Amino acid sequence: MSFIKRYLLPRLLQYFLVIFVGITVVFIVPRLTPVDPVQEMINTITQRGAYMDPEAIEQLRQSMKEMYGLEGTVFSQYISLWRRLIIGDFGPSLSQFPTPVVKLIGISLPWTLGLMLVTTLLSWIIGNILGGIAGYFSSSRWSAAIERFMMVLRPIPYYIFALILLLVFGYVIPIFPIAGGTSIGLKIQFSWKVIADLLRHAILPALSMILLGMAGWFQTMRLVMSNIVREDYVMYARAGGLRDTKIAFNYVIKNAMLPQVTGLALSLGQIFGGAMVTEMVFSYPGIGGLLYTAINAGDYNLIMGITMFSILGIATGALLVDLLYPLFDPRIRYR
Amino acid sequence: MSVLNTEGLKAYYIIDVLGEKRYVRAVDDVDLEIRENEIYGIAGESGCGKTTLIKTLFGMVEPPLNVMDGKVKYKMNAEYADIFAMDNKRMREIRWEYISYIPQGSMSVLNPVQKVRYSFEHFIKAHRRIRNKEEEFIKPVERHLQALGLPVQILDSYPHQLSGGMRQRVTVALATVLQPKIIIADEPTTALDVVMQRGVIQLLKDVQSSLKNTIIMVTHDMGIHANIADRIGIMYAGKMIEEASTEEIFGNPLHPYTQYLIGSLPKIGDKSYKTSAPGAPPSLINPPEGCRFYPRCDRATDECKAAIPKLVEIEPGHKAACFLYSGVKEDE
Repeated sequence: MSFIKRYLLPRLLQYFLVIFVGITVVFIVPRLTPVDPVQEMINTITQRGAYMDPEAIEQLRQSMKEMYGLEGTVFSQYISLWRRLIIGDFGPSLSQFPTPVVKLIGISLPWTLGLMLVTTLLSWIIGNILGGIAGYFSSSRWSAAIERFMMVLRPIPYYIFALILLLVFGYVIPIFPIAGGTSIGLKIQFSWKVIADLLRHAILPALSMILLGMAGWFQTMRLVMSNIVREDYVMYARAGGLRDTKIAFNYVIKNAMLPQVTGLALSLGQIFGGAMVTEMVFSYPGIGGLLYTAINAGDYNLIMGITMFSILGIATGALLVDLLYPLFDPRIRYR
Repeated sequence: MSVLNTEGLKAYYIIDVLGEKRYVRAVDDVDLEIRENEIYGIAGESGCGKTTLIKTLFGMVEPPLNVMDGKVKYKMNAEYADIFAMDNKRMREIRWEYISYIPQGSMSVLNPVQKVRYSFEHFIKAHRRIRNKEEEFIKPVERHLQALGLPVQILDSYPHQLSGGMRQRVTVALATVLQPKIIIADEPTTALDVVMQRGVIQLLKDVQSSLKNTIIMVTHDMGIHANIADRIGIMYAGKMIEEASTEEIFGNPLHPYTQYLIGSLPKIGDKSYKTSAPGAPPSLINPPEGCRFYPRCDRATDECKAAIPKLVEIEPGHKAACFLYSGVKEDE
C-alpha cells in the first residue's frame, strides 16, 4: 500500500510531532511564571491563621515538593512527566490536592462538551444555510436584511455581547437564571425536571455563542458563495437551462462548502479547550473555568492535563480534515 | 429559410463612472439572418463585440450588458418568436432543447466536484423526463459519445482528470446531446493546440452534417473559418461590415478592413511582406463618427467621416457596409 507508506505514515508522524512539541511547550511555560504552587499552598495554610515556625515550613515545603513531583532538576521532571503521560496518569491536582487531575477534568468535560458541541454545530449549520441563501439570492431584499443584521452582530466583542444577554434576560427580564449549570442543590439524575433545569441554565450561554458564531460562519459563507455564483461552471449550468434549485445545491453550495468543512473540523477540535469567557460570564461549569483557576493557582499538573486534551483535540481535528477531505473534493489527492 | 434573425440589435454595456453613465457599444445595430442547415462564421478581432453578440443571440443578457433596442427571433414551429419577449420559464425550457452553447473556456465550465456523468444527467433531466434511467439516459448518452468518437469511460471521470481537448469535446457532446436546432460555439478552439483544434472542428462538422442543424461559430482564426464555415460575417467595432459565402470572403473581399484581414493571411509559397491595417481598433465607448473604420482606412473620403454606411447587398449574396460600393447610409 503506497497510500500508507507515502501519505499516512508521514502524516501520523507529523501528528505525533505536533503533540510532542505542544506538550513540551506546556511543560515549560508554567514553570516560567512567577507563581510557585508550593508557596501558594503554604500561603493558603498560613492565611488560615495556623502558626508555623520556619523550620516546620521548610519541612512542609520539602514533603510537598516530593508529593507534587517537583523535586529534582527540570529535566528529570520532564522525563518523569512523559513516563506518567504514557500510562495516562496526569498526577494529582496541586491546588485541590490530592484529587487526581483526570477526575477534575472528568467532572468538567461533560459540561463543556455538551455546551460547545451543540453551539458549534448549530452555529455552523444555521450560519451556512443563511449565508448560502443570502449569497445565492444576493439581490433579494431578505438577503440584504439578513446581511445587515449579521454585519451589526459580528463585530460586537464577545464578552460585551454575553454580558448584555445576561443583563437583559437574567436581570431586566428575569426569564433565565444568571449563573450556574444547574439550580443549587439539584441532584443530577435522568428525569424531565432535571433536563428542563439543565436546558434552562444552558440557554443563555448557548445563545451567546450560537449568535456570534453563526454571524462569523454566515459572513465567510456569503463571501465564498458570491464568488462561486460567478464561476464559469455556474454560468454554463444556467446556459443549459438547469433549474435554479439544482444549480444552487449541486453547483454552488457543493463547491462553497469545501472551505467550511475544514473550518468546522478545526473548530470541533477547539472544543476541548473550553470556552473560558463564556464560562466566566455565565458562571458555567466547564474546562475553561477550570483552566483559569489552575493558572491562577500555578497548578502545573492540571494545566498540563487540560492543555493536553486541547492539543489532542486540535491535532486530531486537523488530521481528520486531511484524511477526509478527498471525500469532499475529488481534486485533492493523497500525496 | 432563416432559423434565427436579428433586427437592429443593439446591446450596450452600461458602466457607471462616478455617477456618469457610459455606454460601451459592443453590438451596434446588427441585422443577421442565419439559415437552416448552415455553419455561419462570425469573425473579427478581439474586443469587436463577437462574444457580446452571441451572448445576446443566446439571451444571456445580464447587467452590465443591456439590450437597448432590436429583436432576436428564433424560428420555432414555423413561427418567429422574439426571445426578449419570453418569460424566464420559457427561456429556460428552450435552452439546450432548441439552442445550445459551446463555451470558450472549457477548462472551468464543468463542475469540478462532480463526475462528467452528472453533468450529462443534470443537463438532460432539466429538459426531459427520465423514467427508466438505463434505457432513457445511460444508453442514449453512451451511444451519443460513441457516435462522436469519445470513450465512454469519461463519464466516470472528474473534469480535472481529462485533458483540455477532451474537456472541450465533452462540451461539444453536451451541447449536441439533445439535438438542438441551433448550436452557438464561442471560440471553441482557442485554448487548444492545432492537432486538438482539428479534432474539435471535425467533430463539429460531423455533428452538423448528421443533425442538419445550424452552427454559429465565433472565432478570430480565419483558418478555422475557411475550414468549416458556409457563410462568414465580419465584425468591426460592434458592427457587421461584410457578409458573404466563405469563397467570396476569401476570394473577393470588398470592405477595406476585410481586404486587410484576408491580405494578412499567409499562403503557401507566398513570401511577400504582410501589411497590417494602420492604427488600432477604436474604443467602443467613443467610436468615431461616421464609418468606424475610416481613421484606419487609406481610401476614406469626407463622406466616410460624416455618415455611417449601411450593410447592403452589393452582389448577390454578398453584403458590405462601405461607401466605395454603395451610397446607402444608416439613418441615425
